[in-house]
Parts: sequence; structure tokens; C-alpha cells
Amino acid sequence: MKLLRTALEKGRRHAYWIAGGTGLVIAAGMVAVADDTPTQGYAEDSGWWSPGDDRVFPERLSIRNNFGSIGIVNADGPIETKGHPFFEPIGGNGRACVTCHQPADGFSLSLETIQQRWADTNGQDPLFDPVDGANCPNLPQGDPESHSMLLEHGLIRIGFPWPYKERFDPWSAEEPEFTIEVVRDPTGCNTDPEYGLNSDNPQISVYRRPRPTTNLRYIVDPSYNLSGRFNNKTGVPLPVDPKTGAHTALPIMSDGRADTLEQQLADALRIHMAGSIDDLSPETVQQIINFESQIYSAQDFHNVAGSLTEPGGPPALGPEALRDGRSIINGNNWRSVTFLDFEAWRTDEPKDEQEAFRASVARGNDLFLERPIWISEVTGFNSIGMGNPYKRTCVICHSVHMTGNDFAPGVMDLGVNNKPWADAGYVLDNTHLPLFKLTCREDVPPHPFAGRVVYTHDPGRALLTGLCHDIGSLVMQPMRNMASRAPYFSNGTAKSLEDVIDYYDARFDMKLTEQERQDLINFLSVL
Amino acid sequence: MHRVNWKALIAAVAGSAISQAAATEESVTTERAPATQRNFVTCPIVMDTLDVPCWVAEYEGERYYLTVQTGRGGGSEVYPFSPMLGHEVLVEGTISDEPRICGGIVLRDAKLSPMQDVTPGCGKVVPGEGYRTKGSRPIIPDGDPPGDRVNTAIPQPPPAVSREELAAQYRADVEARAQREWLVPYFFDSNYLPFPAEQRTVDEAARYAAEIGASRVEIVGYRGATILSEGGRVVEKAGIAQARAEKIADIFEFFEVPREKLAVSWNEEPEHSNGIRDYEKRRVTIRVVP
Repeated sequence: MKLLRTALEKGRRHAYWIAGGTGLVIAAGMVAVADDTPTQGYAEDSGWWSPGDDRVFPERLSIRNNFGSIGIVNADGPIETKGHPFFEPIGGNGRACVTCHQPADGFSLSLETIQQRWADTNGQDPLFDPVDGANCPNLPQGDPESHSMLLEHGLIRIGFPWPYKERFDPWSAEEPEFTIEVVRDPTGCNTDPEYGLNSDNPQISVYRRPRPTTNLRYIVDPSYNLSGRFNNKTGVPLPVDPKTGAHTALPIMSDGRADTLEQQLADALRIHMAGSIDDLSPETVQQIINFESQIYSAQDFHNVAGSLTEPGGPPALGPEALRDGRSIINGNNWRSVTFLDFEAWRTDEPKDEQEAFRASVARGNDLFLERPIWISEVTGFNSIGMGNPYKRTCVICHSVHMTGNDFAPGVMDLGVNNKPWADAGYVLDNTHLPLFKLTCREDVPPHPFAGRVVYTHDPGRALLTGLCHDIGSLVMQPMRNMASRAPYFSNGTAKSLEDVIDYYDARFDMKLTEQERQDLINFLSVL
Repeated sequence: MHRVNWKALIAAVAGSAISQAAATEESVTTERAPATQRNFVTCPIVMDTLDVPCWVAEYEGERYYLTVQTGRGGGSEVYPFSPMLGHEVLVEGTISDEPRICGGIVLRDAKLSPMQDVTPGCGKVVPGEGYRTKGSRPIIPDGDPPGDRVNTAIPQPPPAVSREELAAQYRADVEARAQREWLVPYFFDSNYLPFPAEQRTVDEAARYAAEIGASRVEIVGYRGATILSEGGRVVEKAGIAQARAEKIADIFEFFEVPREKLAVSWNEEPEHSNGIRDYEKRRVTIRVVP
């Protein structure tokens, strides 16, 4: 904790300037002046990127955050944001892709940024559009209470028709295998006469964090799967990209409902941006996909650890490592472990605070790779023949080399949505979330660990498939840029890196020592 | 699952219980699995052994070894489906005279089927009692750790037929447009295709049918039963044979084998082998006709 407090204090004093191409670093105390040359970046607060801004997105930039700075590589070179469809409002409500995928926040949105934006615009930014930026679309606009899920927890409302009108895919239930009752409705939307489950157009509202649109080569590659044409978790075929014929691995979006980036764009236009992909030319669509596919980002400076990209340092740190790294490699193997090694930082006799912190990170990586955990009651993991429990280490699940998402396609249920696992150790703050009671029919397979009656804050993939088995399951997120984009987990219930570690500690009864806990926190903060 | 306890039924109904046995899947049977077999339903136990955990079960005062922790994948084709705490497990196997493992009698050709329903409190984690076991996957990442350490996993025995030979045979059959058959096994009451073996079996069959332009694919689903060591039987749920066959057919259609070429049928009558490898009756057969 002492190291973390020190880091935050230093963060307020540091500023530095990186000249792209030369790698020159000018240390704290100097005021950074951004050169107009497009290839150079600056590590100040880059501020909010508004739709329609006339700016240059450089080839390389660093943006300050509480832990140091995030580094971003725009691999195809600098672009003018004016006229670029990722940065232009392409729907009907003034939002652009960048509205919810801000560079400073690892191309997601941090709670801090959301709150600052509210203050700067008095709640008038398109980010707060009532369609999903409010707790419910019909609440009074401009009132912070109407937007508490976004303002206090970083959550966007996602509404699903319920029950669904048609099967999501050939493996979904013709009709849902369960009924849904609202047990608790803090936002009022699920019991609302216009937007709730008993309305004329019944829907269920859940609240989720925006996912990062960066480092996508490590997420979306069509070769991303273990067992060829099958989803090795569910035992049914993987979806097929209609354009390429390649099987996709369900890695996009929290519930895997988009098979391709184009489908994700279409979904976002429809439900977030009051638009339609039909209004975009194929070239415009491709321009958006091309841009987000070549953005690489990671923490590149840490207030205590210092530069994360210095020569001879840990090879997996910084955005250049992601730009140059090999994608779709299994990180659960010593040949290519997820975040490679931290040997350059390992020491038993640190000379100063920086060395002590770096050594702590190295130990954190050791824990990530080798600290045994009894992993239990995770649907999509323990339920597929691994055994319940299964004794292994963090990397068995956080196994995509360089990013730490799941190398096996599909969804899993860590427990952050379903009771009682969501309450493990009472670490996570979930009292603001809706609570649903799902009752599975007697003639269908039950949820493997919750049984036939499941209390959940978010049914997850089950809202698409109607399968009891899928209740609460979601796609695992990558581990990069955590320093930039609190809060964490799909429902934002982990407010800090400490919460993340404490939840796992409680959930899997890890019995971490205080040193181990801090080592893991420090490890997460440099990724 | 329909489970009939023969002893309980006889005790509950005086006199003529056997003579009144009805001809349904829940009928009383005087059958019991041969003494060489152990077929039973129980709560599993996982022992915190080194190098990897060891799964055992207790039945009539005796401990039986089930499996070591393996995982899925890692280069081999067939893995036991490890039990799950919170679920009963159907154990089916032949008593072996091999040395005990984790203090348990080894069952040869064992099949482990976690029961689908959640049974709270079923099973437990216990200390390792000093036993040591190695599995096909280590606790830490696969492969050789850095430095002087070695990978503690035990390599899997090579398959009877290598992948290269199988691939060569496959190509030869495609060339010859030969008729081929596949068998897909299942766990009790399950319609799930685990990774890797069962998924690869169905994948290969569907790929073959598409490659040779099959004129017909015959898919037949079956429903199983298991004769228990204590007497009585457990019978798979009604409809499972149909569900299995239709799911395989759906998969073939997804892989672009036209539906009109699929001849799908099922046998709802539960089958068993008198307590010896009854699990082999839980299956789908696939025949690809050129």
C-alpha cells in the first residue's frame, strides 16, 4: 500500500516527453511542448477526444494516468482525426467510436474520465445519451442520479428483448430454458412500464463496461482457437465469418454476440449510436476496422518502476512489444508464457524504491505463472472435464500470449455475476446492480454449479442463447492497460486493482500473503 | 436419470414385488454387475496430492482410484472426464490387480460421468496422505520451466495408430470414396461433445462426408443404461437418443452436408451390456456412404 500511495503522489509531479523515432526521454520537471510534427507525441493529459475534433492522432503517444502513462502505437502512422470515421459521429446521436473508446483509457472508458466529462459538459456530452448512458432512457436528463450507473460505476446500459424472438444461432434454445424475475431493480429500468420486463416490448437491462478496442490482433485473429472448427468449451461448431469463411472464436464483446469487428460495428451503431451500418460505405467500415486493428497500447511508464520500455527491460512491456509480438500463441507454456519474463528486474537486494518495486513486479509474474490455485465452479472451465476443482495457476485461463485473455474460445463464468460467487469475501460492490432470479425448466440441463434457480446480476451469454448452462458467463477480458481503465470486470464491481486481487483471493481461497497480494497488484499495474 | 434400488424396493413391498415388475425403464431388475466390475454412483473425493491432485471414491467401505488431474488437450486425444464436487459421479470400471494408486483400487477401462444435477455438499477435498501422483499436465505452465527445473508431467503413451497414419488412411479413403463409420461415445445423460476426442471425431466425419460428396449419412442415436454393482440400474433420461442424433445432424448441416442427405434415427430403448462396459451403449453411430 505504501508503494501505491507513493506512486500516486509522484504521478502528480511527473511529466515527460517522448520524441517518437529517437526514443529520447526528458525527465520530470520540464514542461512538455508538443511539436506539431505528426510523428511526435506528448505525455500530458491528452484530454477528451471529441467526435469531429480536428486533431492529429500521432504515430506514437504517451498519455499520463495515475500510475504513470499509457503508451499508444498507431502502427500505420499518424492520421488526421477530422473526417476519420472512428473519430466522427457516424450515427444519429453525436457519438463517435472514440466516445466510448478513449485513447487515454486504453480505448475503453475510465470512471475518472466519465466523471470529468460530465463536469466539463454539465452532462451534455453525447456520452450521456439516454439510450444507454442513462440508467433508463426515460429518466430526467441532466440529473446525475439518472446516470448513476455510468457516473458512479462506469457502466453502459444494454437492453435485450426478452424473450428473444428468434434463435441466436443453431445451438441456442428454440425458446429460453428459463424464466426471469426481477428481484431487485435499483435503476427502475427492469420494472419500468415502458422499458421493463413486463412492458409492451419487454426487455431486460444489464449494465456493462465498454471493452477496449486495442491490441485486437491478439483477440480477433481467425486462427484463435484450440480445436479447429469447434468451440472446445461448448462442443458445438464455432461461428463462421460470412465474408472469409473462417471460424471465429467469440472474443468480441462481453457476451461474444459479434463474430467479427464488422458485426460489432453494426451492433454499436444500432444500439449505441442511433445509426445503421447500412448508412456507411464498405470503405468507411473498413477504415474503422483498419484503424482499430493497428492500435497497440500498454503502460509505458510507471511512477515508481520508471520507464517500462527501456532497452534490456522486461520484453513484454510497452506498446511496441505488442506491435511486434506474435499473436495467437498459447501463453500457458514456458516457450511463450503470457508476459514473458521479468528477469531484468529480479533482485533480492534492491538498492532503492524503484528496484524494490521492480522486484515486486517480477515476483508478481512468478505468482501469475506458478502460484497454485484451486479453481472451482467456473462454468466453461471446471464443467468441461477439467474437474471441479482444478488445481493450477492464473495462466491456465489468462493464456493468450502478450494480452492475458483466454486462449480457448468462448465464455466462462468467473462468478462476478452469479450469487453466491459474486459476493465472495464481500469484496465487490454489487448492491447498485439489478438482481434477477432465473428458474430453469426441469427438462433441461441445469447450470452446472448454481443448479436450477440462479440469482444473477447479469445473465450474460444466456440472454442470447437461452441456455441455463450459460447464465452469468461472459468473455474474458485482456489484462493490458489496467492502470488506465478502472473499474474492472464486466460489471465494474472491482473499483481498483486491489479489488481485483482481493476478489480472486476470496473467490478461490488463495490465502495470499500481504506480500503476494501487493506483488500481484504491482504486476497488474505495469501491463 | 432413473435409478431403482432393488433392495429398497423388496424391503418396501412385501411378498410379490418381483412378480409385479412392470416392463418400463424403471422396472425392478434382479441384475447386478458382475463381481469383476464396479459400477456405482457416489460423491467424489479429490486428494491434495503432489504433483497433481488425485480423484478417488469410496464404495462399500473401499476406496477406488478414479483419475489424476489431467485437463483437456496438451497433445493427447483421450482424457478422463474428471469428476466435479457438487455432483455425484457414476463410476463404471473393471477391477484391476494393478498396485493401488492414492490408496485406491484401480479400475481399468473406467468411465466417469458427473451427474447433471447439482447435489450441494457432495464430495470433498482431503489431504494428500503423502501419496504422489503425476499427470499429463503439470500445475505450472506446460513444457520445461526455465533453469534447472524439469517438467513434471508424464508424457502420454503414443496412440496405437499415429496421427500421421490416421491422416494417410483418411486421404486414402477420400481418394477411394470409401464408406466409413465413426462412433461417438457419451457420458451419462449427456449430449455434450468434450474436447478433444469427441469433437475431432465428429469434425472428421463431417469433413469426410463433405469431401467425398456423400450420397447419404446415417446417424443413429442410442440411449444407455448401466447395471449397478449394488443391483438395479441407472437409465438415461428419455429423449436423449433423439437429442444426440439430432445434434450430430445439426452439426453436419452446419458443416454444409445437405440435410436431405442425412438419415437420422434413434433407438429409445435403453441398452446395456449386463454391467460390463455399459457405457459403450451410450453412443451415436455415423456411417458415411459414398
